[in-house]
Amino acid sequence: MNLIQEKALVVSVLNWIKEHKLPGNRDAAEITEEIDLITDGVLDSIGLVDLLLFVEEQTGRPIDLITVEPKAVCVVKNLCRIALGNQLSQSTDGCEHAEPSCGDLLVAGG
Amino acid sequence: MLNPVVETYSLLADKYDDELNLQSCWGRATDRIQSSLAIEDNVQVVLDVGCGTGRALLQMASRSRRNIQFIGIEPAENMRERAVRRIGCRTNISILDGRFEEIPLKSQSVDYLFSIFAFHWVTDLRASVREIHRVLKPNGRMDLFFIGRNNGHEFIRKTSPIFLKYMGPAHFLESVRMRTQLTRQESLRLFSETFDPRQVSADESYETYYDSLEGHWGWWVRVEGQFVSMAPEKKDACDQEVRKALSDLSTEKGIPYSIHCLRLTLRPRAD
Repeated sequence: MNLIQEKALVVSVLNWIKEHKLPGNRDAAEITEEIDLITDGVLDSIGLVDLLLFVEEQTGRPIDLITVEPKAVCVVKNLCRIALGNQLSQSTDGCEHAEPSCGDLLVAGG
Repeated sequence: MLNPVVETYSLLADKYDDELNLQSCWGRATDRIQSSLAIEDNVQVVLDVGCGTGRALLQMASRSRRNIQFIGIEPAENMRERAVRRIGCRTNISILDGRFEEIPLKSQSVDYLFSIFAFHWVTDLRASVREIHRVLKPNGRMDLFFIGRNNGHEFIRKTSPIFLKYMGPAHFLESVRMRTQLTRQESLRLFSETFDPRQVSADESYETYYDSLEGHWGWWVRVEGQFVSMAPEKKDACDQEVRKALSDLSTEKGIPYSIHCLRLTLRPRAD
Protein backbone atom coordinates (compact mmCIF):
# COMPACT_ATOMS: atom_id res chain seq x y z
CA MET A 1 0.00 0.00 0.00
CA ASN A 2 1.41 3.39 -0.92
CA LEU A 3 0.43 5.41 2.15
CA ILE A 4 1.92 8.68 0.96
CA GLN A 5 -0.03 8.50 -2.27
CA GLU A 6 -3.17 7.57 -0.37
CA LYS A 7 -2.82 10.39 2.13
CA ALA A 8 -2.32 12.90 -0.66
CA LEU A 9 -5.45 11.65 -2.37
CA VAL A 10 -7.43 11.89 0.87
CA VAL A 11 -6.39 15.53 1.28
CA SER A 12 -7.25 16.31 -2.30
CA VAL A 13 -10.65 14.61 -2.02
CA LEU A 14 -11.49 16.36 1.24
CA ASN A 15 -10.69 19.70 -0.33
CA TRP A 16 -12.93 18.89 -3.28
CA ILE A 17 -15.76 17.90 -0.94
CA LYS A 18 -15.45 21.09 1.10
CA GLU A 19 -15.75 23.05 -2.11
CA HIS A 20 -18.72 21.10 -3.46
CA LYS A 21 -20.61 20.12 -0.32
CA LEU A 22 -24.30 20.75 0.11
CA PRO A 23 -25.25 23.81 2.10
CA GLY A 24 -26.15 23.27 5.74
CA ASN A 25 -25.64 20.20 7.90
CA ARG A 26 -21.87 20.10 8.32
CA ASP A 27 -19.29 22.86 8.46
CA ALA A 28 -16.22 22.31 6.30
CA ALA A 29 -14.15 21.82 9.44
CA GLU A 30 -16.31 18.85 10.45
CA ILE A 31 -15.75 16.98 7.21
CA THR A 32 -13.25 14.24 7.84
CA GLU A 33 -12.12 11.10 6.05
CA GLU A 34 -14.22 9.01 8.44
CA ILE A 35 -17.74 10.39 8.00
CA ASP A 36 -20.40 8.94 5.71
CA LEU A 37 -20.88 11.61 3.06
CA ILE A 38 -24.37 10.51 2.07
CA THR A 39 -25.86 9.65 5.46
CA ASP A 40 -24.44 12.83 6.95
CA GLY A 41 -25.89 14.90 4.12
CA VAL A 42 -22.55 16.32 2.97
CA LEU A 43 -23.14 15.28 -0.64
CA ASP A 44 -26.25 14.20 -2.49
CA SER A 45 -26.34 11.44 -5.07
CA ILE A 46 -25.33 13.76 -7.91
CA GLY A 47 -22.48 15.09 -5.79
CA LEU A 48 -21.32 11.53 -5.22
CA VAL A 49 -21.25 10.88 -8.96
CA ASP A 50 -19.19 14.06 -9.42
CA LEU A 51 -16.87 13.03 -6.60
CA LEU A 52 -16.19 9.63 -8.18
CA LEU A 53 -15.39 11.32 -11.47
CA PHE A 54 -12.98 13.61 -9.64
CA VAL A 55 -11.29 10.68 -7.90
CA GLU A 56 -10.97 8.79 -11.19
CA GLU A 57 -9.39 11.86 -12.75
CA GLN A 58 -6.93 12.09 -9.88
CA THR A 59 -5.88 8.45 -10.03
CA GLY A 60 -6.19 7.99 -13.79
CA ARG A 61 -8.03 4.72 -13.30
CA PRO A 62 -11.68 3.71 -13.13
CA ILE A 63 -13.18 2.65 -9.82
CA ASP A 64 -14.70 -0.80 -9.89
CA LEU A 65 -18.08 -0.23 -8.27
CA ILE A 66 -19.49 -3.67 -8.93
CA THR A 67 -17.86 -5.43 -6.02
CA VAL A 68 -17.65 -2.64 -3.45
CA GLU A 69 -19.94 -2.11 -0.49
CA PRO A 70 -22.00 1.10 -0.20
CA LYS A 71 -19.96 2.15 2.83
CA ALA A 72 -16.81 1.98 0.76
CA VAL A 73 -17.75 4.75 -1.65
CA CYS A 74 -19.33 7.06 0.92
CA VAL A 75 -16.38 7.30 3.30
CA VAL A 76 -13.36 9.18 1.99
CA LYS A 77 -10.81 6.93 3.67
CA ASN A 78 -12.30 3.81 2.09
CA LEU A 79 -12.96 5.42 -1.25
CA CYS A 80 -9.37 6.53 -1.64
CA ARG A 81 -8.07 3.06 -0.82
CA ILE A 82 -10.34 1.45 -3.37
CA ALA A 83 -9.53 4.09 -5.97
CA LEU A 84 -5.83 3.29 -5.59
CA GLY A 85 -6.44 -0.43 -5.72
CA ASN A 86 -5.43 -0.83 -2.10
CA GLN A 87 -7.06 -3.29 0.28
CA LEU A 88 -9.85 -1.82 2.32
CA SER A 89 -8.78 -3.04 5.71
CA GLN A 90 -5.52 -4.55 6.81
CA SER A 91 -4.67 -5.34 10.39
CA THR A 92 -1.27 -5.24 12.02
CA ASP A 93 -1.01 -9.04 11.95
CA GLY A 94 -0.90 -8.83 8.19
CA CYS A 95 -4.22 -10.55 7.69
CA GLU A 96 -6.86 -8.83 5.64
CA HIS A 97 -10.21 -8.27 7.28
CA ALA A 98 -13.28 -7.18 5.40
CA GLU A 99 -14.84 -3.90 6.40
CA PRO A 100 -18.33 -4.32 7.79
CA SER A 101 -20.87 -3.59 5.09
CA CYS A 102 -23.56 -0.97 5.36
CA GLY A 103 -26.06 -3.82 5.72
CA ASP A 104 -24.04 -5.38 8.55
CA LEU A 105 -23.98 -2.07 10.36
CA LEU A 106 -27.70 -1.65 10.02
CA VAL A 107 -28.40 -5.15 11.25
CA ALA A 108 -26.15 -4.41 14.20
CA GLY A 109 -28.29 -1.38 14.94
CA GLY A 110 -25.74 1.18 13.77
CA MET B 1 -30.17 -0.34 -26.82
CA LEU B 2 -33.25 -0.03 -24.63
CA ASN B 3 -33.50 3.01 -22.43
CA PRO B 4 -34.85 1.86 -19.04
CA VAL B 5 -36.49 5.20 -18.36
CA VAL B 6 -38.37 5.13 -21.66
CA GLU B 7 -39.29 1.46 -21.23
CA THR B 8 -40.63 2.08 -17.76
CA TYR B 9 -42.64 5.11 -18.82
CA SER B 10 -44.17 2.90 -21.48
CA LEU B 11 -44.95 0.11 -19.03
CA LEU B 12 -46.58 2.54 -16.60
CA ALA B 13 -48.39 4.64 -19.21
CA ASP B 14 -51.82 3.59 -17.96
CA LYS B 15 -51.01 5.08 -14.54
CA TYR B 16 -49.61 8.30 -15.90
CA ASP B 17 -52.95 10.10 -16.12
CA ASP B 18 -54.11 8.95 -12.70
CA GLU B 19 -55.52 11.76 -10.61
CA LEU B 20 -52.82 11.25 -8.00
CA ASN B 21 -50.15 12.03 -10.57
CA LEU B 22 -52.11 14.85 -12.18
CA GLN B 23 -52.81 16.48 -8.81
CA SER B 24 -49.26 15.95 -7.57
CA CYS B 25 -46.62 18.65 -7.45
CA TRP B 26 -45.46 17.58 -10.92
CA GLY B 27 -48.95 17.61 -12.36
CA ARG B 28 -49.61 21.07 -10.93
CA ALA B 29 -46.24 22.43 -12.05
CA THR B 30 -46.82 21.07 -15.54
CA ASP B 31 -50.27 22.68 -15.75
CA ARG B 32 -48.91 26.01 -14.59
CA ILE B 33 -46.14 25.96 -17.18
CA GLN B 34 -48.45 24.85 -19.95
CA SER B 35 -50.94 27.62 -19.27
CA SER B 36 -48.14 30.20 -19.28
CA LEU B 37 -47.01 29.37 -22.82
CA ALA B 38 -48.11 31.62 -25.63
CA ILE B 39 -47.93 31.02 -29.37
CA GLU B 40 -46.99 33.96 -31.53
CA ASP B 41 -49.19 35.03 -34.43
CA ASN B 42 -46.83 33.97 -37.22
CA VAL B 43 -46.29 30.43 -35.95
CA GLN B 44 -47.22 27.55 -38.25
CA VAL B 45 -45.60 24.48 -36.71
CA VAL B 46 -45.38 23.76 -32.97
CA LEU B 47 -43.38 20.85 -31.58
CA ASP B 48 -43.67 19.31 -28.10
CA VAL B 49 -40.70 17.03 -27.39
CA GLY B 50 -41.46 14.34 -24.83
CA CYS B 51 -45.19 14.95 -25.12
CA GLY B 52 -46.12 11.98 -22.93
CA THR B 53 -49.82 11.23 -23.20
CA GLY B 54 -50.39 14.45 -25.13
CA ARG B 55 -52.11 16.41 -22.38
CA ALA B 56 -50.23 19.70 -22.74
CA LEU B 57 -50.17 19.42 -26.53
CA LEU B 58 -53.93 19.05 -26.74
CA GLN B 59 -54.51 21.90 -24.31
CA MET B 60 -52.20 24.14 -26.32
CA ALA B 61 -53.94 23.17 -29.56
CA SER B 62 -57.37 23.74 -28.05
CA ARG B 63 -56.62 27.39 -27.32
CA SER B 64 -54.76 28.12 -30.57
CA ARG B 65 -55.63 28.85 -34.18
CA ARG B 66 -56.76 25.78 -36.12
CA ASN B 67 -54.30 26.36 -38.95
CA ILE B 68 -51.33 25.69 -36.68
CA GLN B 69 -49.79 22.23 -37.04
CA PHE B 70 -49.03 20.63 -33.66
CA ILE B 71 -46.58 17.75 -33.45
CA GLY B 72 -45.78 15.71 -30.37
CA ILE B 73 -42.87 13.34 -30.22
CA GLU B 74 -42.55 10.71 -27.54
CA PRO B 75 -40.20 7.72 -27.26
CA ALA B 76 -42.39 5.58 -24.95
CA GLU B 77 -44.70 3.53 -27.15
CA ASN B 78 -47.63 3.18 -24.75
CA MET B 79 -47.52 6.85 -23.84
CA ARG B 80 -47.63 7.62 -27.55
CA GLU B 81 -50.63 5.37 -28.03
CA ARG B 82 -52.49 7.17 -25.27
CA ALA B 83 -51.59 10.49 -26.87
CA VAL B 84 -52.96 9.32 -30.21
CA ARG B 85 -56.22 8.26 -28.53
CA ARG B 86 -56.39 11.58 -26.70
CA ILE B 87 -56.15 13.75 -29.80
CA GLY B 88 -58.84 11.68 -31.56
CA CYS B 89 -59.75 12.95 -35.00
CA ARG B 90 -58.05 16.35 -34.77
CA THR B 91 -56.20 16.65 -38.04
CA ASN B 92 -53.86 19.43 -36.99
CA ILE B 93 -52.18 17.33 -34.29
CA SER B 94 -49.85 14.41 -34.94
CA ILE B 95 -47.89 12.16 -32.62
CA LEU B 96 -44.57 10.66 -33.69
CA ASP B 97 -41.96 8.33 -32.29
CA GLY B 98 -38.85 10.30 -31.42
CA ARG B 99 -36.69 11.86 -28.77
CA PHE B 100 -34.48 14.88 -28.29
CA GLU B 101 -31.46 13.07 -29.70
CA GLU B 102 -33.38 12.03 -32.82
CA ILE B 103 -36.25 14.26 -33.90
CA PRO B 104 -38.05 12.79 -36.93
CA LEU B 105 -38.63 16.11 -38.68
CA LYS B 106 -37.05 17.99 -41.55
CA SER B 107 -34.40 20.60 -40.87
CA GLN B 108 -35.68 24.12 -40.23
CA SER B 109 -39.29 23.01 -40.10
CA VAL B 110 -40.40 24.10 -36.61
CA ASP B 111 -41.45 27.61 -35.57
CA TYR B 112 -41.92 26.93 -31.89
CA LEU B 113 -40.52 24.09 -29.81
CA PHE B 114 -41.52 23.49 -26.22
CA SER B 115 -40.93 20.71 -23.75
CA ILE B 116 -42.07 20.27 -20.17
CA PHE B 117 -40.01 18.18 -17.76
CA ALA B 118 -38.44 15.90 -20.36
CA PHE B 119 -35.04 17.35 -21.25
CA HIS B 120 -33.38 16.06 -18.06
CA TRP B 121 -33.87 12.50 -19.36
CA VAL B 122 -31.72 12.96 -22.47
CA THR B 123 -28.85 10.54 -22.90
CA ASP B 124 -26.67 12.89 -24.94
CA LEU B 125 -26.91 16.58 -24.08
CA ARG B 126 -24.90 18.00 -26.97
CA ALA B 127 -26.51 15.77 -29.60
CA SER B 128 -29.90 16.85 -28.29
CA VAL B 129 -29.08 20.54 -28.53
CA ARG B 130 -27.72 20.08 -32.05
CA GLU B 131 -30.93 18.28 -33.03
CA ILE B 132 -33.10 21.06 -31.61
CA HIS B 133 -31.00 23.55 -33.56
CA ARG B 134 -31.41 21.50 -36.74
CA VAL B 135 -35.22 21.34 -36.68
CA LEU B 136 -35.87 24.93 -35.60
CA LYS B 137 -36.34 27.56 -38.26
CA PRO B 138 -33.71 30.34 -38.21
CA ASN B 139 -36.11 32.62 -36.36
CA GLY B 140 -37.59 29.79 -34.33
CA ARG B 141 -38.52 30.08 -30.68
CA MET B 142 -38.14 27.64 -27.88
CA ASP B 143 -39.16 27.14 -24.25
CA LEU B 144 -37.60 24.17 -22.50
CA PHE B 145 -38.57 23.43 -18.92
CA PHE B 146 -36.55 20.86 -17.03
CA ILE B 147 -35.36 20.08 -13.55
CA GLY B 148 -32.28 21.79 -12.19
CA ARG B 149 -29.36 20.72 -10.05
CA ASN B 150 -31.11 21.21 -6.72
CA ASN B 151 -34.38 19.57 -7.59
CA GLY B 152 -36.02 17.47 -4.89
CA HIS B 153 -33.17 17.98 -2.49
CA GLU B 154 -35.30 17.00 0.52
CA PHE B 155 -36.15 13.61 -0.97
CA ILE B 156 -32.69 12.98 -2.38
CA ARG B 157 -30.99 13.48 0.97
CA LYS B 158 -33.45 11.18 2.70
CA THR B 159 -33.60 8.43 0.11
CA SER B 160 -30.04 8.22 -1.21
CA PRO B 161 -28.69 6.13 1.69
CA ILE B 162 -31.60 3.73 1.25
CA PHE B 163 -31.24 3.36 -2.50
CA LEU B 164 -27.50 3.01 -2.11
CA LYS B 165 -27.99 0.20 0.38
CA TYR B 166 -30.54 -1.71 -1.71
CA MET B 167 -29.05 -1.11 -5.16
CA GLY B 168 -25.36 -1.18 -4.38
CA PRO B 169 -22.99 1.59 -5.54
CA ALA B 170 -22.77 0.56 -9.20
CA HIS B 171 -26.51 0.40 -9.89
CA PHE B 172 -27.27 3.35 -7.65
CA LEU B 173 -24.84 5.64 -9.44
CA GLU B 174 -25.98 4.30 -12.80
CA SER B 175 -29.53 5.26 -11.86
CA VAL B 176 -28.42 8.75 -10.81
CA ARG B 177 -26.70 9.21 -14.16
CA MET B 178 -29.96 8.46 -16.00
CA ARG B 179 -31.09 12.01 -15.33
CA THR B 180 -29.13 15.16 -15.94
CA GLN B 181 -29.50 17.95 -13.42
CA LEU B 182 -27.77 21.06 -14.66
CA THR B 183 -27.28 24.36 -12.96
CA ARG B 184 -28.65 27.47 -14.66
CA GLN B 185 -25.15 28.46 -15.73
CA GLU B 186 -24.38 25.00 -17.11
CA SER B 187 -27.56 24.94 -19.17
CA LEU B 188 -26.90 28.43 -20.50
CA ARG B 189 -23.35 27.44 -21.46
CA LEU B 190 -24.57 24.25 -23.11
CA PHE B 191 -27.08 25.96 -25.38
CA SER B 192 -24.77 28.88 -26.11
CA GLU B 193 -22.33 26.43 -27.71
CA THR B 194 -24.80 25.76 -30.51
CA PHE B 195 -27.14 28.75 -30.58
CA ASP B 196 -26.36 32.44 -30.77
CA PRO B 197 -25.74 33.28 -27.10
CA ARG B 198 -27.54 36.58 -27.58
CA GLN B 199 -30.75 34.64 -28.32
CA VAL B 200 -30.53 32.27 -25.39
CA SER B 201 -31.57 32.95 -21.83
CA ALA B 202 -31.97 30.73 -18.79
CA ASP B 203 -34.16 31.36 -15.77
CA GLU B 204 -34.66 29.28 -12.69
CA SER B 205 -37.33 28.96 -10.06
CA TYR B 206 -37.80 27.13 -6.80
CA GLU B 207 -41.21 26.08 -5.66
CA THR B 208 -41.82 23.93 -2.58
CA TYR B 209 -44.92 21.74 -2.72
CA TYR B 210 -46.37 20.11 0.38
CA ASP B 211 -48.32 16.92 0.10
CA SER B 212 -49.19 13.73 1.94
CA LEU B 213 -47.06 10.63 1.53
CA GLU B 214 -49.68 9.09 -0.77
CA GLY B 215 -49.84 12.34 -2.73
CA HIS B 216 -46.12 12.22 -3.39
CA TRP B 217 -46.20 8.49 -4.03
CA GLY B 218 -48.63 9.19 -6.84
CA TRP B 219 -45.88 10.70 -8.97
CA TRP B 220 -43.37 7.97 -8.22
CA VAL B 221 -44.42 6.60 -11.62
CA ARG B 222 -42.24 9.36 -13.08
CA VAL B 223 -39.03 8.05 -11.56
CA GLU B 224 -39.57 4.29 -11.45
CA GLY B 225 -37.39 3.83 -14.52
CA GLN B 226 -34.35 4.63 -12.44
CA PHE B 227 -34.92 1.68 -10.16
CA VAL B 228 -35.42 -1.13 -12.65
CA SER B 229 -32.03 -2.61 -11.86
CA MET B 230 -33.14 -3.35 -8.32
CA ALA B 231 -33.95 -7.00 -7.68
CA PRO B 232 -37.73 -7.40 -7.36
CA GLU B 233 -37.40 -9.18 -4.02
CA LYS B 234 -35.64 -6.12 -2.62
CA LYS B 235 -38.05 -3.61 -4.12
CA ASP B 236 -40.82 -3.96 -1.53
CA ALA B 237 -38.45 -3.65 1.39
CA CYS B 238 -36.78 -0.67 -0.24
CA ASP B 239 -40.14 1.00 -0.91
CA GLN B 240 -41.10 0.56 2.72
CA GLU B 241 -37.91 2.19 3.95
CA VAL B 242 -38.28 5.03 1.46
CA ARG B 243 -41.85 5.65 2.57
CA LYS B 244 -40.76 5.70 6.20
CA ALA B 245 -37.93 8.13 5.40
CA LEU B 246 -40.26 10.45 3.49
CA SER B 247 -42.78 10.36 6.34
CA ASP B 248 -40.02 11.60 8.62
CA LEU B 249 -39.95 14.79 6.53
CA SER B 250 -43.52 15.65 7.57
CA THR B 251 -44.26 19.15 8.74
CA GLU B 252 -47.53 20.83 9.67
CA LYS B 253 -48.01 21.70 6.01
CA GLY B 254 -47.22 18.20 4.79
CA ILE B 255 -44.15 16.57 3.26
CA PRO B 256 -42.11 19.13 1.30
CA TYR B 257 -40.71 18.62 -2.17
CA SER B 258 -38.94 21.50 -3.90
CA ILE B 259 -39.00 21.65 -7.66
CA HIS B 260 -35.98 23.45 -9.05
CA CYS B 261 -37.14 24.32 -12.54
CA LEU B 262 -34.92 25.66 -15.29
CA ARG B 263 -36.44 27.49 -18.22
CA LEU B 264 -34.24 27.70 -21.27
CA THR B 265 -35.61 30.22 -23.73
CA LEU B 266 -34.67 30.97 -27.31
CA ARG B 267 -35.98 34.16 -28.88
CA PRO B 268 -34.96 35.72 -32.20
CA ARG B 269 -33.18 39.05 -31.97
CA ALA B 270 -35.02 42.07 -33.24
CA ASP B 271 -32.10 43.12 -35.46
